[in-house]
Amino acid sequence: MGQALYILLGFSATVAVTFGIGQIILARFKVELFRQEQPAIAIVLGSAIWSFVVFMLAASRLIHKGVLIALAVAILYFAWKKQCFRLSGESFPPLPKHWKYVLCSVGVVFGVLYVSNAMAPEISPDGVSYHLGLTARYYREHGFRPIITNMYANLSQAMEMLFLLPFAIGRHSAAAMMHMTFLWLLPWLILCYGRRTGAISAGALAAILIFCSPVIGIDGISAYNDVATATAIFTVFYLVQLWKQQRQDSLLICLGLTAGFAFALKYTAFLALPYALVTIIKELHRDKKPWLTPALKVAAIASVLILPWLIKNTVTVGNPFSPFLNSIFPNHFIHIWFEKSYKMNMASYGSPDFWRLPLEVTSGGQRLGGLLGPMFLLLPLGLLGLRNRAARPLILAALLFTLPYPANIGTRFLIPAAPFWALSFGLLIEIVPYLPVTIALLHAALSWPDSIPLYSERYVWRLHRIPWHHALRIKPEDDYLGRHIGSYAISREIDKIIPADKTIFAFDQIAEAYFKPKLAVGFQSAYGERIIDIFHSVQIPAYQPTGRTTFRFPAQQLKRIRLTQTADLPNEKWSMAEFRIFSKERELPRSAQWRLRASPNWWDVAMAFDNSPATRWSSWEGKRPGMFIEVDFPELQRVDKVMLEVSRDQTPGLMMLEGWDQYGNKYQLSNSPKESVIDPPEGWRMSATHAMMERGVDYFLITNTNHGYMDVMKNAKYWGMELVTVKGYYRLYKLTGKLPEDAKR
Amino acid sequence: MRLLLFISLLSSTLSCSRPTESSAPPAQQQEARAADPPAVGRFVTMEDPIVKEYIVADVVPAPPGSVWRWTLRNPTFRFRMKQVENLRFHADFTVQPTALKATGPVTISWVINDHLLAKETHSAEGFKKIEKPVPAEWLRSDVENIVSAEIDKLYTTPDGDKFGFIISNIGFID
Repeated sequence: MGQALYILLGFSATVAVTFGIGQIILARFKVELFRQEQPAIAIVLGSAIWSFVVFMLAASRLIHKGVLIALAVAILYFAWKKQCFRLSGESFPPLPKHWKYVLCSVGVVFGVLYVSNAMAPEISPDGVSYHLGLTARYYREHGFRPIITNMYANLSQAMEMLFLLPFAIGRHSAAAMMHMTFLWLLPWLILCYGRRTGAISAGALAAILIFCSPVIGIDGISAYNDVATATAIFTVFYLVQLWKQQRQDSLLICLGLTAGFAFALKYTAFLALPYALVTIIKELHRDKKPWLTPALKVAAIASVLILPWLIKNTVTVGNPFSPFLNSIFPNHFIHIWFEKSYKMNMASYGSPDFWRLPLEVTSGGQRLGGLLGPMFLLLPLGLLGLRNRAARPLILAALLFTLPYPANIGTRFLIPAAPFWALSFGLLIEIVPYLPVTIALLHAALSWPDSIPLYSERYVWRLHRIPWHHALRIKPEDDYLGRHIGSYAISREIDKIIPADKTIFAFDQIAEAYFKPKLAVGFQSAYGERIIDIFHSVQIPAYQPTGRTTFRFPAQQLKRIRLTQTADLPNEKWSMAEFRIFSKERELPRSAQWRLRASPNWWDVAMAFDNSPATRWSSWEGKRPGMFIEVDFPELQRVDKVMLEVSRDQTPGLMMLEGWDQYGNKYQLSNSPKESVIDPPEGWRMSATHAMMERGVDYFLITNTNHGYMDVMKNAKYWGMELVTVKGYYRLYKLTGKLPEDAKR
Repeated sequence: MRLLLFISLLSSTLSCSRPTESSAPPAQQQEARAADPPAVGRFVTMEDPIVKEYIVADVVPAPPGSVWRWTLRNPTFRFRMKQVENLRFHADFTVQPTALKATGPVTISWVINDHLLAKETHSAEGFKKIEKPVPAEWLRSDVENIVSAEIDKLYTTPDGDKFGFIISNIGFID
């Protein structure tokens, strides 16, 4: 029970702080709101500012429990002194009785489900891996330190900033509860919007559609950021509509904060700022009023919340928009090749049947990670309300915020647009008596955990029950976590036996939020992909450098030699394990005075000059003419042959070798190499282990679904690995790089 | 607008106009010093091209590359190993659902060089794993080591064929 109190304390302290900050802003700028709107908008504004403050603390490495609590107490005291916790303003007219009963009963029933699940130990896949994994790491390391092994650390992370205070006090569940706050705020704001615009039934129906939706429910109670993002986007819309009515200058400040916060929560909310700016400019232009200053004010305030994330990425990984736009900002941390395949995967989820999408996101749910509920199939009918003046801005917003969806077709990526679709639909049907309330009740009934299996696929991501015993910690956390997270047992073991400063390589995400050592997951960074490439060079014959590409030419005295790609094969990387230069059949010894260059990916060029069969330089981009590798000698060298050791997962030949003399004269040496094949070298496993160790990997985690599992299990000593522990199918090895006597040649 | 201008300026400053940078050759790796594992060793997966070399009895033949095979009552394998200390016996196998429905719970005994390592009853279908340390004195480094499993009930198919359980891999690991 003690832990439950800390969870509640951490959560309520953060909500109170954000509410206090928001109320200070609303009071300071005299924003006129209805009494019911005030707390929701205050918490959104307060969250925007608090996340920024925590970012600054993290950037200054001042994240300590004491600092966070002291600051929170100071803010609460200031807000209390200024009497900011009091709600002011007029109330909306009372709700019709039937809606009051429906909203209250749905709120209580689903509220119990949500609060108990949010308070229960955190088990969400992304929550226990990177959302809280990174939060825990920032907390341990007192702020940001460069993380180059996890692309998720490069996303905007305002939500992680909001997690830090509750995490410091109540750990994982308190952070999840902070996200749950937005699960309550979003439908509340939708309801307020309906009440403000006189569309009560539309607002109430939309609020219930959103609140009860299975995917919004489970996402909202998890340590995720989608529901918070949707809330920020909806608040931007709300404030834009308010500004259109009131033209209060102070609303522009709130708009800037909220639009910036939306981006800071999730890149996919980037449209919130242009939406606000375009609407403001259009309105003022139509009224023949100056638009530049108001628009600049919104943009400038938003940029205060946006730019820190871009600057952090620029400093850490050389790409402000990492992990995207790597072809514009090439860097050593995320491969262009990865970005391309990641985008393709996110846009398809391996499911080419787009005609099934509506059914999949509303009632199937298994392949796209959750379902909205069958009633959402009706929502596009809202488009029929285009002729309704009140519906038009909602339909426009619905279409606009659906635009990013094709980039990631996971169901939860529809959450930001869902409130607008729900409201548009509500406006269309609210004229039919009792239809909205009937649909609302039907949706609530269909969304209850016991009903979902009646129509959904079996393994859909959803809530199952009310886990009160675990929420209140009457039953131990470990028991619940072990049953729900496949990697929990190995994660706990890692926490017990591996020192915090060690790095573990794994192929898949595990429950990183529950241990301290550093984790490098293969697909999450260029670093991880290099480790995978090294490991697979042993496992996959096509990756092994058994190909020999030899260029012979009349001997030349050269100062520089360059190998240029001439093929245009966008679906094939260019790679080579070794680039060897010969004179009279003797390889020129590689000198520290040589200068090696490559384009692209010059950072890895040394991997083609390290004499290791397990490492290779790769373009990590599709082949295109003009890519090159170049060696600059400190003085003239006699050269008559160049031999490449290459893997056979690429089209041979199609390269040109050029050289330069001391005067800068260029010579084409050869463009007709000879290809041959040799047997793979012996002792390769150990070379791969050495290469992984040189790159900072201390431990290696593998499970039965990973390629190479059997080989490591069977031949650990030939790899130079020592088994540390086994949990289920997870096997954790320590890299020793040492060969036992009985395995030596 | 100015913000956009600023961002685009920042972008262009940071983007691909940077010159290609260079590095020096790193320290050279020594020749590979390790051996590769012997062809017939202490562990085998069913898709291993030389799995036949390991099988002594009661494993149903399957096309090359098959990742699992049916056993009969007493599947037996042979293994060779250079060192016998600190080894663990490991096998991944499956209790097939249709078979389990027909037979009811089955008991499988695992025997290493005539020593009973484990006897386990399985009342649930699905993937199973056994992994247990093996006393060094049970094993020999100079001759073949014989490992066998015995299932107490066989499943009879409608065609009259009899099967035990499904094996994926078996042998000794560190």
